[in-house]
Amino acid sequence: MVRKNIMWNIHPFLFAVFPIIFLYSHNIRSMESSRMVGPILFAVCITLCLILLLRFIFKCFNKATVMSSIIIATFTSYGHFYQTFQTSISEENLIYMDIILLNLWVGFVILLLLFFFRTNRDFNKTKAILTIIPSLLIFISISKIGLYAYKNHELYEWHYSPQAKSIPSIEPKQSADSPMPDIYYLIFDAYARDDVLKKYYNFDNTPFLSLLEEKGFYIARDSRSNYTQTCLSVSSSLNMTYLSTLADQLGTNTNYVLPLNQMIKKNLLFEFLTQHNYKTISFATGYYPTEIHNADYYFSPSWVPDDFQNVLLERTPLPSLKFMFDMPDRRYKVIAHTISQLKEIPNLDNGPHITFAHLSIPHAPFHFDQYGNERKIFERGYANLDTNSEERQKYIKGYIHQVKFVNSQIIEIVNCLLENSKTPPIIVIQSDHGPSSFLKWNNPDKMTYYERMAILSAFYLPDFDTQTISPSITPVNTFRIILNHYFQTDLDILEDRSYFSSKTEPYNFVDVSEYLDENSNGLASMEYVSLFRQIQ
Amino acid sequence: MKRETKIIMNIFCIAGLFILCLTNEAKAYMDPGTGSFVMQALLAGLVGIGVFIKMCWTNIKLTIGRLFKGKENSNTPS
Repeated sequence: MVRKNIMWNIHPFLFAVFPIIFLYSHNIRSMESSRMVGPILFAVCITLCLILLLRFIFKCFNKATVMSSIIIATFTSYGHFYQTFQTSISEENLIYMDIILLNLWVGFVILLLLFFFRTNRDFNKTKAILTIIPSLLIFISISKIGLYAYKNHELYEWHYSPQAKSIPSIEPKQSADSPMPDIYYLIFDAYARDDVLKKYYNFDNTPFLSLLEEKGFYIARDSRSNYTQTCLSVSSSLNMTYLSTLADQLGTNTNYVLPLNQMIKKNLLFEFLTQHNYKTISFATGYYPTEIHNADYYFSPSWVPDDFQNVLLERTPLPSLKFMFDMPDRRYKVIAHTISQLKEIPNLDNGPHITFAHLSIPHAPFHFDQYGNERKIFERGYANLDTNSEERQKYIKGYIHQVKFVNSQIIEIVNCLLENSKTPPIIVIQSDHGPSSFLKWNNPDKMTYYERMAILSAFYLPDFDTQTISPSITPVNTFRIILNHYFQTDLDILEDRSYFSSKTEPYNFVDVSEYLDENSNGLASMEYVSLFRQIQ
Repeated sequence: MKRETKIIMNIFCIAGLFILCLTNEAKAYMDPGTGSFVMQALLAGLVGIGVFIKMCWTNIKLTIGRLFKGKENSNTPS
């Protein structure tokens, strides 16, 4: 009897954990199941506290659990319903809609409290229904997880095999006697090449690039990315290899991107430099695939939710409160923290260090104005950028503001690194891919991948003849040339190729290298992509 | 009780299969899946309402019966 009672009273916990299991089931291709553990424990603890509090108020266990379930269900689904209405409301009115929705929710909870105070019902039938609903929802999510695991069991087996975890080793010809320089690999997400900025954004970036050149940087004026997505691009550059072998192993029709996370966390560059007594340094990025937690030094601001936890929090009314009480955004905090910490790295210890920093700026959303102040923008989830001119103009304006801010910060960081380093450092400033004012994944005939793949690449390489660097260098060769020069390795310089792939089929690479020149308006090249797909 | 359990299990399977067939794949790196969530919540809500009606069916029948009976009685000339 007692067991039966407990069974019908677990519904608040089911409502609390369902959004976590649902989000995992929806994003199973890109995240490990272990990332659910923390949020589930947190949700269970909070639910328990809420039940105990309401039990204390109502002096009735049934009332406490039923009330808890209703509060939790509406609290955790708030953002989903908000987002359903969001599309039909203009940006200026979003905050008003949020205030109205928030007040409605608070009013609903107060009315519910009053109702529960006054009623003498036992809620036995309600308990049964409240147990069936989340059980059904969890059942669906778990079925979805099971179905995906069953369909992709070969990929999982491969992913957890020693073969997938092994990385090739690089042998230096001879070890260097002189003190080795610190290496800084700074990735500014979606930073466009200067010709793209001029052509599509009406922004002249020459003064900034000239300033870098004056400081001794080499700017690869025709540099392109190898891939169009961050996780593909960064895993490729840190491992100094194209991902065609991985695509062959996984198949081109899968969207399973977990191996890329693994390739970034355990990458060839870090492995090689660790063998040469380098200490590894990384920063919180706010984007889980590029978080290298196991670095010797991992810098993060005081607790910030990761992207999974952030999406969960965004589904609750909490972002509205944050906005109303003027609290800094998570992304703003992470970027500002990384920028300030980067300037301190030369003073850290004797090194040498390899510092990897992926800053998700000037990528949208545009939280920074051109002076680095936080712009209060109110949005939940991902911006669905359309190609209509109004949306594009907003994007361009926000993007340029962030480029201006980033430029000023890059100069400050470079000054600090050059002034405070005992041995002249190696600095690579690069973007993983270009911006996306023309990008539509599902309608590639309308996008310009010239904009998406023309990237900033700036190198500070002491005692290096930069004339030998190709102006169209791609990130896959960045560390091949650096290791060959400074560590006397004998790595082949690969042919610089650029591959387009969509979000739904990230490994279905289409070689678009021949179509990435400035004069292409993108449409001709996209015709090529369509044709290529038809042939395939 | 056994019959009720069977009904609930059937509901689970039918609703589960229905939703599994209709759910979309994630479109971004971390997609909140709002469309799928709202659809699942609505369907689960409908199932909840269905179960509620089923549980209260005897009471509902009695109430409706009483209502019609009362109407018939009131229409009868005294």
